[in-house]
Amino acid sequence: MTAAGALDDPVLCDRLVQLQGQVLAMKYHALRLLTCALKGEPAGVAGLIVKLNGCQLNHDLCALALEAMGELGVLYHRAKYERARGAWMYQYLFSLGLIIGGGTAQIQKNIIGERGLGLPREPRGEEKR
Amino acid sequence: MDFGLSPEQRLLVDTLRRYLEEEAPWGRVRDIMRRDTAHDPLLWQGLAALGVPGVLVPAAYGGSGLALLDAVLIAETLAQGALPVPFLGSAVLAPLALLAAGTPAPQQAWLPQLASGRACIGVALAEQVGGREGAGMVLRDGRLFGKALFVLDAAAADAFLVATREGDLVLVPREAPGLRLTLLPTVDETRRLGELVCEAAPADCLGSRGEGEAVIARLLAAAWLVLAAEILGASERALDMAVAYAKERRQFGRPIGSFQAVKHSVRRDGGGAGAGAFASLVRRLRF
Ligand SMILES: Cc1cc2nc3c(=O)[nH]c(=O)nc-3n(C[C@H](O)[C@H](O)[C@H](O)COP(=O)(O)OP(=O)(O)OC[C@H]3O[C@@H](n4cnc5c(N)ncnc54)[C@H](O)[C@@H]3O)c2cc1C
Repeated sequence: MTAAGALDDPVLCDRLVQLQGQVLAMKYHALRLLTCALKGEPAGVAGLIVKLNGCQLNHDLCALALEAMGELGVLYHRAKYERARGAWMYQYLFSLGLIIGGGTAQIQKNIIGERGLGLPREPRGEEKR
Repeated sequence: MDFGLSPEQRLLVDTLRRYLEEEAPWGRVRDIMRRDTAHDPLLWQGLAALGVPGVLVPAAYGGSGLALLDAVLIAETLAQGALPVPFLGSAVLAPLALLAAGTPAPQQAWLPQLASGRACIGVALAEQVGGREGAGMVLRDGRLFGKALFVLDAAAADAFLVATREGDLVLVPREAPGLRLTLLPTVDETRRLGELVCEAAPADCLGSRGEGEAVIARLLAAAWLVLAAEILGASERALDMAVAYAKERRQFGRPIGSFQAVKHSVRRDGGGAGAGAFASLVRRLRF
């Protein structure tokens, strides 16, 4: 499938536009956080969601790119016909690592719930026998 | 009605699983992956004693003459061990093509060799789904021209089965003059795909010209089934490993499996219909 061919696929096209919406949301969110920081205001929950959403979004973007490339997307290790020097596959795998590193997505959600939204804390320590 | 597996099928899977636990622990799998060919002829011939390479080859040619469902079960079990073996091309697609389209001569020449694991056939079908980078092969006066990408089981192949633009199935030996193979490394290091370029390589059409299309359609359907079974097998193993780890690994003073977030993701990733349902689906397809 050529680049134009991928856009002819309504399912891929729909996913692309949805991701574009999320990318724009992240971009304007970052500008808002920048304003908060410049004014010395606490960002609260708004700041806590950046890592969680940003890592997942990177992963989703790479997944879409790989799918649009079809079988060429699996080429790696400097294979002939590999696109963008394998960057999409590399980032797809690495962004999975970043979903874990610096606090996993599950831990991030716990933090957002507890510190951001003030929900009761997760049970911690030894299980009751 | 019983949609489950037969006692023979269970025995096949159990025997194979035990063999792989003994003979192909992760260390050996990694060693094989690192080879240029990602192929270990000794392991493949060992699996021949269990009937793996010859699963679809008739008994008259030294195989076990089983059905595609049995091949699917083997594929699932091999994938549980992430085994680098030329199963899809050499044990499924090449025998199916030789049996469906071939004449006695190529059958006699290849089927016993395939069943014993002493020979492998790479399979070039990708162009039937979508030709990339100008790929596509044509047969003219007994000579093959063009290129094929994503050729399965390419590195260890002694010959290649090529589907041409006209829809014929052609067999071309590895050492044919005018044939050039370049490996195409992918993110899956257990499988060696390749680019095959032929410049007037002498090749034989399997069966009569113009009659390959129905066979090719069947090969593609079989390939998708076997690949789906591999994905199922690999997922089952990943789920088993994740569940075992969630019981063992402790964080915040508790096994991580006691956190709902972990329980729920294990359920989501592993709670699908599973092997039994897949087997009854395959059974209903006519092969
Ligand atoms: C790419 C990458 C870079 C890294 N860089 C660094 C670095 O520079 N410096 C450094 O110190 N570390 C680094 N790390 C380590 C990283 O911080 C840890 O991997 C991460 O915090 C997760 O801890 P863990 O690996 O021990 O997983 P575990 O804590 O064992 O978690 C295993 C699973 O259990 C879940 N889980 C655990 N506790 C809970 C809970 N209370 N509630 C719900 N679910 C839970 C997790 O979400 C995860 O799915 C990096 C990791 C990666 C992948």
